[in-house]
Amino acid sequence: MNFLFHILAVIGIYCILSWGYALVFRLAGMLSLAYGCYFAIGAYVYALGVRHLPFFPLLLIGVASATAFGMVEAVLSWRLKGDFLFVGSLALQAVVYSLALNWVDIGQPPGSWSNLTNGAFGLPGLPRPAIFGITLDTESGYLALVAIVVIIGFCVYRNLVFSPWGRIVEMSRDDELAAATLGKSPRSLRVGVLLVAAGFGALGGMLYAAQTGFVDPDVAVLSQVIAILAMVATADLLGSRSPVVGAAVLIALPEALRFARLSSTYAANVQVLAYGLLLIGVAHVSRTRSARTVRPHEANDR
Amino acid sequence: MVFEDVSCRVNPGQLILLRGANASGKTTLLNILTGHLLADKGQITLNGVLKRTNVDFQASSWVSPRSTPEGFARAGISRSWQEIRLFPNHTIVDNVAAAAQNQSGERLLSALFLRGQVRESESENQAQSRALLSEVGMVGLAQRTPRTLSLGESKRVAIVRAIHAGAKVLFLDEPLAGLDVDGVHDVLTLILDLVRNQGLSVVIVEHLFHIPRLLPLADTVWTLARGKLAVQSPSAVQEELLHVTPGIIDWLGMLTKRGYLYSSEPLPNGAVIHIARRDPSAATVLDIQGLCLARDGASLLGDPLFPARTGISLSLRQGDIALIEAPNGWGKTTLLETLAGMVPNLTGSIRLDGRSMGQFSAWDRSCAGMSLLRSAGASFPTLTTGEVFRLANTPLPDRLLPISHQKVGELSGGQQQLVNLLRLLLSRRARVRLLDEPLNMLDPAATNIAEELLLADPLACTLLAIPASVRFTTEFQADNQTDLQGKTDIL
Repeated sequence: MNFLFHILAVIGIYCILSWGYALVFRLAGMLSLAYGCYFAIGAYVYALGVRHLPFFPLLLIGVASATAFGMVEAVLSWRLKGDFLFVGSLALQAVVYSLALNWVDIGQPPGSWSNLTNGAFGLPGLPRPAIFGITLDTESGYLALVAIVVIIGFCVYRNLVFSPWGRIVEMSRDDELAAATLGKSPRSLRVGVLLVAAGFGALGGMLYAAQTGFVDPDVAVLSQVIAILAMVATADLLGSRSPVVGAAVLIALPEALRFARLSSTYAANVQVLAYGLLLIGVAHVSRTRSARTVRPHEANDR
Repeated sequence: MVFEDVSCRVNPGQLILLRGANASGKTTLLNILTGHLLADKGQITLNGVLKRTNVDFQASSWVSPRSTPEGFARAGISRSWQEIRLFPNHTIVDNVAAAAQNQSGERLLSALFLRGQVRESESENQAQSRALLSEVGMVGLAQRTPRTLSLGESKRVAIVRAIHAGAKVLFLDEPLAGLDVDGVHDVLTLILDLVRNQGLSVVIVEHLFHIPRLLPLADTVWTLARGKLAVQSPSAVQEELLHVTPGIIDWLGMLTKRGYLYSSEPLPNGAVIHIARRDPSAATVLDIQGLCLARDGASLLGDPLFPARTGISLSLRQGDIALIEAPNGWGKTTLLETLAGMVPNLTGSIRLDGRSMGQFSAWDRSCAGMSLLRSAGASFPTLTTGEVFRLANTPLPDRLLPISHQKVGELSGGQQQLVNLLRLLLSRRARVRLLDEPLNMLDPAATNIAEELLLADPLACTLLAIPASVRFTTEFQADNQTDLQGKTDIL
């Protein structure tokens, strides 16, 4: 039972992460790899602060610091679009990863200013969050916390996507010039999307760190973003409007493989293989879809 | 330097016609006046009801937020494009509603935290948008998506959207291009209503075909030539149009003087085909029997069960020039693309020099001599003019030598069209030349070049397609004739 709760909590965390990324990737049409940075910042803020601060203020600090870092990507997006934003965000991700790996001084205690991340050794032994004096030690208690955050995250995501703001972000994705001519600033819209996404990323990162109790530079690796991208894209592939489906499928799939009596070494490979196949499928579907989309001038003579 | 010391003034409720030869800078001027390009020097002042907005280009290298397209739009200057640019994934009413300024629901924090207020203002906004649409009689389209609209409807929605965005001055780039006679009427009625009754100022850029139609309605005419802008009165321009050379259909008829036989026959669904035949005994080049048109699975023309009776059948001989005149939505573009192999044909036969083209792919047909010039997207923007002609294995004509090293994407719309047209008409391989609205965007000088070249190859045949009942009228300025000749050389 605990195992099931554990899996459900992981699915919940990835739901939050996919909503944030869906705003960037699907609503605003930006292919950004810096999303992993926000996840990592959230995780490290939790790791460094959990022994000093109550959970909710810590949550705010995590979201605020990720949003502040989101400004860096926002500045990038001010001048860069499309492929160039992709490359720029890749650079950001690399910077954060190497910071996490190299902000280390073995002589100093982990978490101190000169040994902030403890490098590749990571920050182990993190306690579970305590809310109103109750430490959420059990999987069920922790799942309840994740469920609450998921519900709040879902409301935020829904409110944004189905608001006039979501509409104009989507329109500006489809035709930036036309949106600008209506007096909307596509750049400001992109900045807003990135800042909100940074908040989602940090939330996911903090919950992740709280669940595993251990943070190391792996939280900032590229494959984290790729996995989230795969979830958002899988939901597209399955024809679902909500990325939840993608998160559920991609988390549950490898876990189900355990019951298929595959050894864990195989299961990990099968997981990567599944991501790869899904991404190819998504690329195929989205390519044929965009080929079916009628460009305005082609529609003229129907 | 494109412009030197251009000054102009737009008063409320004015309808202004902006004209000029190809590459005279019409689009550039439009882009500067709507914030899409920055001028090197000078200023633009907009006297609004409440505030005065001033954009000074000289001021500094720092781009002020006012001199962006969105800044201009907020100040009340809007524009349309030649392509329509409605948002394809949203309904018509959303397309209009999204244009409203200062929506609380478009601010991130209000969208998150002030749900009630946002919902209220959004429903008000939707109601206003519907009211605007019903004023122009299009409220029935509110829930449709842009791709289900006709061209004329789309153009009107784009105008309504600009009005909802608070436009006081509206720049329209070729609002009548590609429209059939009903579409032209609807769009003109809307523009006139906005100008006369709501005090909107409209600046229209049009190519020559529509200028005679617009002249009686315009208050002022701006004429661009050699980097200068001349402000003229419509009556003065009317007098300048001394010589009105005949439209292309009349031009086909006049070929009888050169020994051509002229005939005109109806096609299914209200289209007409005009054929000027050089030699009735010449070999047949293109033979079409019972062709039915369909696109993306939707049938456009003809019943595949009775192709012989309902489909298109025609045959063209060497030296023939045929022109299909059809209403919007008839399938002109689809017909030409079906012949060229870009759209699969399921019924009917297409024969080129007696060979069936049914199993031929688009590139095989092109090698066999079926050349298509599409009405849009026909250019290679990153290639130079010289490279385009080398790619087409066609000698570069002398008149294009001055621009042989310029990238096609950097040329003006009219020049691009001329490059594409000459590339096709001078091709030594073309047996059948399929031209979709080829004379769009061309000025009189370029039109004459094109007409001469249409006659030059006695072995090829030509099939043109244009919207119904739009007569091409060529204007000549009596006192500027030498100047236009000079421009020909630049082209």
